[in-house]
Amino acid sequence: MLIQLKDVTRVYRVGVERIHALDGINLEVKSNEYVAVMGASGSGKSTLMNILGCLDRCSGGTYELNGHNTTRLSSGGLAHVRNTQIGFVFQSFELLPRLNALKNVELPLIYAGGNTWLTRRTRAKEKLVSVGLSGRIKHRPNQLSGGEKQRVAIARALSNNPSILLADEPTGNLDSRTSRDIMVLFDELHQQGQTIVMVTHERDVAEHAERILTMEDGRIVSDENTGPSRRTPANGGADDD
Amino acid sequence: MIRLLAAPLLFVALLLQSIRLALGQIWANKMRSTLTTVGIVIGVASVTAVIAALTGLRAKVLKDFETLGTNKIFIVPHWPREGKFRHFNWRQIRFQPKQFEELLERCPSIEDYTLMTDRSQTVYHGVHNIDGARVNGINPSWHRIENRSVIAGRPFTLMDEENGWQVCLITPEVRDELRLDRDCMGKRIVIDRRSFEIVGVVEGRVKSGMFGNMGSSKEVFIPFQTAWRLWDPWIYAMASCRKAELSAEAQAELRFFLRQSRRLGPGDPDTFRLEVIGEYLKMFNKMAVMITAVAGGVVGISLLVGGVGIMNIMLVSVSERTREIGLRKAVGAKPSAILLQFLVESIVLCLFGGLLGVLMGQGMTSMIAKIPGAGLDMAYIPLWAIGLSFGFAGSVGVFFGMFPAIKAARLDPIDALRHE
Repeated sequence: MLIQLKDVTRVYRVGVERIHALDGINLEVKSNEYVAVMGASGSGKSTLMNILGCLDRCSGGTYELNGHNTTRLSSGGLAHVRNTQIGFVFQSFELLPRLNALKNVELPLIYAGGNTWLTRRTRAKEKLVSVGLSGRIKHRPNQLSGGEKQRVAIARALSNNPSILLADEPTGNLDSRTSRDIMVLFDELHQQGQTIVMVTHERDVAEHAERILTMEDGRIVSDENTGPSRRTPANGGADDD
Repeated sequence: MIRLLAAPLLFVALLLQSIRLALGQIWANKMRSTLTTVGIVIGVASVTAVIAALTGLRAKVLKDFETLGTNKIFIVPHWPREGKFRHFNWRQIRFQPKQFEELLERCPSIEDYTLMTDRSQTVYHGVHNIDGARVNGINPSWHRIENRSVIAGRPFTLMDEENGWQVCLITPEVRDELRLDRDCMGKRIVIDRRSFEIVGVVEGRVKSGMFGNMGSSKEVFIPFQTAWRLWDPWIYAMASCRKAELSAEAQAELRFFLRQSRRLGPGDPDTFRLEVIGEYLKMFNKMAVMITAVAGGVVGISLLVGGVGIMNIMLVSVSERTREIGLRKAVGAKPSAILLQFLVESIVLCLFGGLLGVLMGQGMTSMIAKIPGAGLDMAYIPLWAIGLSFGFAGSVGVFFGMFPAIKAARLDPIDALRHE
């Protein structure tokens, strides 16, 4: 099992109030699954993403990634897990504006260490080519379109060959045509064996996944298996666990 | 093996990357970076200029002392301020030549000594004369103590000394002013109504910057014995010790010897004084240390102010780049890597200030060296001062960059990524 969440809670204190952003989450994700997480804002899907991405620690329960318990890791240890196991794709791309596409993709490789300048460069180039940006390697983010920026971000997320690709509203800032292109790219990555967990509030984007989780008030209220077959029409059968 | 090397390699890679980032950051904010480092620049520029000026002054003084001879000890009569000698008359205070007998045997650290007299006289040759020429009585050993060569004729000998002959050595200036020929040996000049035969020409006193006007170069030398016989003058002595380092021992020996030869009792104060040029050098060094300390204090304050400026701009930089920090953390930058990045940026900023400061200090030094009459033409910035400047600038970078860097390293990645 790649991801195993057992009874995970996340409690924020706001003044004297305690907000249960996650309230007893049990979740298992197998390798090469393609999971979409849906839910209204405030349902806890972003908190779940942060926990899965090791950006945040759970208040209770355990999170095992690849069989390793991450609950007790130091911030340095979590950074190492993020670096080697997880690739993030954000809604607003989060490219560093003063670095060109290649340098942006190299970033996780630098923090991984042990890579020479040459291996970093060749690996980053490879990834950029694989997302279809062979002609944009030396461009800076402000010279790229939204879709191209997101492709650079995806290349960056994949540069360390992570176990999971975590995408947070990856098409949120893109027009519908570009969104479709990005989703096609995700489908391809999934077919190549990449595990993907994606947060979205758009049903048709979520339809690309083979499994759709719906969250409400910090709980998973539905877990539909839309099957490995692609392009099934919307509102497919709901298989509750 | 690879695992062992991985950690230092990672550090070097991160360091290089941090330096590149820092340079990029400074380049992107040229104006801001330059203004920020003004405090450091002024601090470093002033410290290098002060050190350069002191170094120049020191080199000058050392050179002057060297021409005067650092291993010389002057022995002069001295009237004590208290005790029974206060009421002595000058006959009892002044030196007698016989008080110096056996000096060399009793003072092993002394290489040589000469008795000396010194008076101002008018010197005549025919219709020409010189007012206020210095007439010195010297022993032949004077030639071995003073580094002044005889450029024509011969030096004094024991024969001149023991017979008290009326012979003299003159300097080229005296020769020229009396309109004597280059070959003036055997000519006679008149001092105090007595005729002296010129036997040699001795080179003039070295014109040495600070001490150049300690005496004129219009000098005439006659054998000590002759001066003593003719004028019964005040005398003093000049001794040289075997090595400059032996100066203290030589002085102790001289003091012991002179107290005995002048028959001073155990409680009596000295009726003579020992003057050592090396002592002046020590005094100068003390003064230089004091000036350096004061300048150092001023520079310290300037660096402190500069450092606060650096800290301020680094805090601005951290808050401007919060999202960048969040992203870097999300892709796996450890807190230590973020700390290193901002610390290096602060250090590079300070070293950049240090570089500007050293350049400005060099400019100031060149200007100081050109001030006419200041005697600072040998001013230069020694290498250690440049090292010290960069060291200080770097330390300021570490010290004042630490707090902003820690702040950046401790940022929560989620909050940082949400930052607008």
